Amino acid sequence: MKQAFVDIPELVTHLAPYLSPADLLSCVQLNSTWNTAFIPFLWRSIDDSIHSWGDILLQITNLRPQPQSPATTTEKAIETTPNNTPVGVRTFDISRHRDSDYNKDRDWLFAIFERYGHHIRELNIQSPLILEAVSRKESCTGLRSLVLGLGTNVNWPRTEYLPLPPPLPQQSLLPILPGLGTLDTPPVVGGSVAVAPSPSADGGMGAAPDLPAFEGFEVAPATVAAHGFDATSVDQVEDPYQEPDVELSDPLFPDHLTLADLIITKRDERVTPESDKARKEYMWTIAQHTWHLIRTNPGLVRIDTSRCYRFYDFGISDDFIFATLRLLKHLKDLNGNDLFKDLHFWRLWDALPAKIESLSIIASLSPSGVFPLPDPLPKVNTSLKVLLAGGSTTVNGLLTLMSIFPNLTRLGLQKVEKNPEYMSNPNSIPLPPSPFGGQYLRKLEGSVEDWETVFHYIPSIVEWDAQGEPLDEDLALLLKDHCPNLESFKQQYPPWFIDERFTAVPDDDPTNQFLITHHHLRVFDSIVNYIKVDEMLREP
Amino acid sequence: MPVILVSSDNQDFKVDKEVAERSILIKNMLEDVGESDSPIPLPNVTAAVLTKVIEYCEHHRNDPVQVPEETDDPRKRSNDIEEWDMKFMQVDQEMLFEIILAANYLDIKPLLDVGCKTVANIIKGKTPEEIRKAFNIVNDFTPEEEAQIKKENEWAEDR
Repeated sequence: MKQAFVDIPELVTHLAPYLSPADLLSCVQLNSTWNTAFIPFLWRSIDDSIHSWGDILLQITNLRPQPQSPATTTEKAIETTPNNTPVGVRTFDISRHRDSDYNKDRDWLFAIFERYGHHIRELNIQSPLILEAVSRKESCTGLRSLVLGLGTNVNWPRTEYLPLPPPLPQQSLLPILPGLGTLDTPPVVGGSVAVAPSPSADGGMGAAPDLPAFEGFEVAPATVAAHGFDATSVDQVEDPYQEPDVELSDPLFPDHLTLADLIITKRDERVTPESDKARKEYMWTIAQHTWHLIRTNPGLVRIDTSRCYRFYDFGISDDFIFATLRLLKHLKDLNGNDLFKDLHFWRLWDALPAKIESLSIIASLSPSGVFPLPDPLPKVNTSLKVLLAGGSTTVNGLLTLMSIFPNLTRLGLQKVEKNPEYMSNPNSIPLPPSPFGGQYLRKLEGSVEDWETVFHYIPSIVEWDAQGEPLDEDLALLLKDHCPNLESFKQQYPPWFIDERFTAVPDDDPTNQFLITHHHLRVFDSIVNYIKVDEMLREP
Repeated sequence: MPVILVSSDNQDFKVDKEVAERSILIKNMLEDVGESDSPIPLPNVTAAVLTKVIEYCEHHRNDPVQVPEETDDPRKRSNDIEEWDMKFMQVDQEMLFEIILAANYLDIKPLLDVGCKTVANIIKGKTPEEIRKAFNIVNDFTPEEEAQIKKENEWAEDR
């Protein structure tokens, strides 16, 4: 007898691509066949910034005791005992929460991710609790895409987790740490740990304004020099082999990341020792989970950490980062702003797989962007299509870069200056008579001094985001004549020609002839003129 | 050049080769058999269903062959069924499922897609109980198991 369609998992699976998560949810409840068939699709893509995750996270009980936080956007009641001290376990008005009347706690959340985590292929994390959930038991090892936005503002009210300290003199600069109270205290073996100091009556974070300021250790320049950093830019780096003044808990995943991989900074003088320690411990825990997650997902194709919370108090050693990146043989898209900050570009390049297609490392503090180019020049790479990095160079430098990455379609640099009159640099390459790499470059970001030459040698550019370069009349008219291909021009300052005089006579207005697309007009300040120019442009 | 297809209940269907080759299974069989005129037996497809399948292939005989897109994302839309296909799919549920099974067996991807989209549209917006009723699906979960599954996957609920 032929089986019915609804009983054949292989066929039922064909339906999955057409169903929304809500429909998939209905389907996984139907029976065990459908459950098995649809769970992988339901759990394929997880983004904890959606409202429903926020709701669930707010229901998590057994948090550490929290002081009462001021009223937030939610109307949820925070239960307190009659004399108004905070209660450890928060209960909710259950009737607000659909029909789930079970108590959800942290272990329940962890169990879910243990159960379903291996189906996840795309993960977008804002909450430290979710990060912990996916990392702790290595339940999530099939990731292809990881977006980390820890510390980003999300829709769900975070402040319910946070002890909001009232401004105390020594703590006015303490940043609000998302989810501070929610992380597991790692098992302590012979070290003293306090993740979150227990709240005092005034709700502050272990306020003790009378403690003498800690002297701290001398800053050792050794590590700084080895990585080629300007000593003034990172002025709180300590020698990692010196005993840190803060005792952190033992590593959670000693096979992956140990204290030796850290670069712990001097104690922050502005806060009390307890606060400093708590913050470092928090950062340490987050760092461990983050790197553990990355290292146990060798199938990662895409990593985006551009909205990650900056780990001010310490960093991870470059060698550790490079070793980790070397594990990711399939990585194609790395947006490493923030988590991968301040790395030496070409050492980073060396650690990336050859098939990398998109790289964005705008290290604002790093003195070394892409330039100067190493000597001898790196091997040509035909796979990279998008490069957003820091660094300033000359026109020659730009063209050389294009020859190393001939298939770039989008390039972002800080500044491209004119070639010097007298080129004494033996590495400089004389301008060739014909286009020199960069035949596919469409979008260029950065301020360009000698745009005439640049656009002459790279005529494929149709979009130019000039960042801070002020536009003047001559430039506008010249661009019109020299760069007929230019479709989009964007810059930070409103250009001169948004001016009543010119909008009166459309045909004479150089802007009309110059600008071909509309969308970049949105950068301008003057709304009235924007509308006028925009109307003009719509005329045939 | 006509080809003869034989249904499971021994009915012959004469179709143009071009139409028959919308089925990759038949296409491959024809390539293997070569110039022979012998009819092709399809033991898994009844005459009623085969009629419908042939009708589909006739109507779509000139469609370009679909190339599967190289993408990691399996998600697709189901609101883009063309009008003729929609009318074509207005059959009773049993026939709908039979068509999908046949399209799967005969390897006619566009027909399989249309069939699945149609079924997906039936599922959309329904509660589990409604879906079970619509498709005669037997529930083998205990109420506790079902409640647990629902709770564990609560994040997916529509707000």
